[in-house]
Amino acid sequence: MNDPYKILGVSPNATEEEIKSVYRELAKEYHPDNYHASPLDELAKERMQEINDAYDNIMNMRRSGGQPQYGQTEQGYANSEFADIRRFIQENRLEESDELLSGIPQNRRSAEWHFLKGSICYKRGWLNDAFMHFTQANKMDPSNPEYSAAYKQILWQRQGNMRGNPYREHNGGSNKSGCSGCDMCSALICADCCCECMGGDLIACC
Amino acid sequence: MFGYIRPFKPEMKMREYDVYKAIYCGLCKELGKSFGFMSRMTLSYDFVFLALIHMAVNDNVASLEKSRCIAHPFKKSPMAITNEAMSYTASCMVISIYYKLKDNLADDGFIERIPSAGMLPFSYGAFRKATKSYPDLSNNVKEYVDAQRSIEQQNCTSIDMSAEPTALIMAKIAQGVTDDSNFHDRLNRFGYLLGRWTYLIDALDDVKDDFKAKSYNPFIASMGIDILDDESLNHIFDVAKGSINMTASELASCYADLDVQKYRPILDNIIYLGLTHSLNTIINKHDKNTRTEEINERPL
Repeated sequence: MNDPYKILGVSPNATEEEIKSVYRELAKEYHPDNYHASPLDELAKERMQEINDAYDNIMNMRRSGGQPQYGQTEQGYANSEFADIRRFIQENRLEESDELLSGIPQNRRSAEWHFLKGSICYKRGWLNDAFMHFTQANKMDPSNPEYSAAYKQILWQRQGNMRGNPYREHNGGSNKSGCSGCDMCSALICADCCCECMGGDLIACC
Repeated sequence: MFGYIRPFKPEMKMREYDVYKAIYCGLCKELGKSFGFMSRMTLSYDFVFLALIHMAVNDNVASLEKSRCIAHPFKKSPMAITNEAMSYTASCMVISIYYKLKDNLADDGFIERIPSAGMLPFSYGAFRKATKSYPDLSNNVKEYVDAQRSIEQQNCTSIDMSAEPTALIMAKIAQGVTDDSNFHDRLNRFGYLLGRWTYLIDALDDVKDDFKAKSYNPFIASMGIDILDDESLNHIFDVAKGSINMTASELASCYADLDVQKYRPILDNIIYLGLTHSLNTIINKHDKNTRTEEINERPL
């Protein structure tokens, strides 16, 4: 597949706002209404489709964390004082990002600072420290969905839950064999049928 | 390295158990053949797991044969025929055992030294042979064992830091199972967490002994505990349980990302049930008041 950034003609480092405005320009230019009954009709439709796909692609990628998210003004990242550190973490440059974070003086260590520190620890496998920092971030800013998601996730893991566990339904190994109300009813109906076959009756009304 | 990574037998199918056992026996035989009789004594479940991961990642299965073994000379039982996974595992094992023995020799008391001192000459020959095949791995293990020593000597108060060297050894060993670089990052993290899990659970299991012997223990050191009474022990178990669970959960996540197909039911059993079961066994040993269902488990 082609690079969606190339299709829109923007740099991969562009902010979400920039991408949106470029997309609007292109959409206006290639809108099928402009080419109504023109020989370029088909071509414009194709190009429009391509642009739409590329735009969706970029937005999805950024939302799922596949790309640096420092441009997402809606979530306040553009105002983030740690935008460059976020980018380093996304690129897995943990040494550099950790060094940058350590350089921040104590009095500027906000909830975001703790969240980012926790993310670095998490990526390194230092899970105890990660838990500590995520807890702190969540405590300092409980309304932030990003911090509380990270905190909840690690809390869930601490309780011994595992992603993709095929045994989960079995309550940790011990098989639960139950007999639901449905099972009982159908068993009774079955028994009734058998009795009727033999000339008797178990449930008089059916 | 300590035998905590094992399947939860009651949930295994008979045929899965037979395959697991065949690989255990095959590994034992391979050890005897390549590294001498004494090295067989040191085989643990952890390395059977490593052999399974090796084969699963490389999309191989071991072929089995019926053969006799020293422990049961009159009965022929199925055994895995040596393959690359088993010779790699056996080499990793003798390398890490050798350094472990040497390490024990350096910090135990006189009485405790005797078994290690007795084993060391036997393991040296095996170690040299394995080092010849995997010189880089051997150097790495030595480096990390030294790092572990110095961390413990400094009485490190961070649980994460204390587990780091052992975790890094396992990361190297796990990464070494394949040349396919697509797997390297995932295997590295998988191994890291596996080593970390093993180190922490072993530390938890040894809390009382370490306290008595005044040896280093990450949980005691990180909480700065001076008196080991019921209250402080309960506190240690709470903290340790959270740390170990978190590690196992992240490990399971990495395992899911590896998405291996071969030996899947056995590996699933070990990851999702066996690890938790090992932890519960230790917790139950500590907390005898909570009666959980006793599961009759005999060694393989």
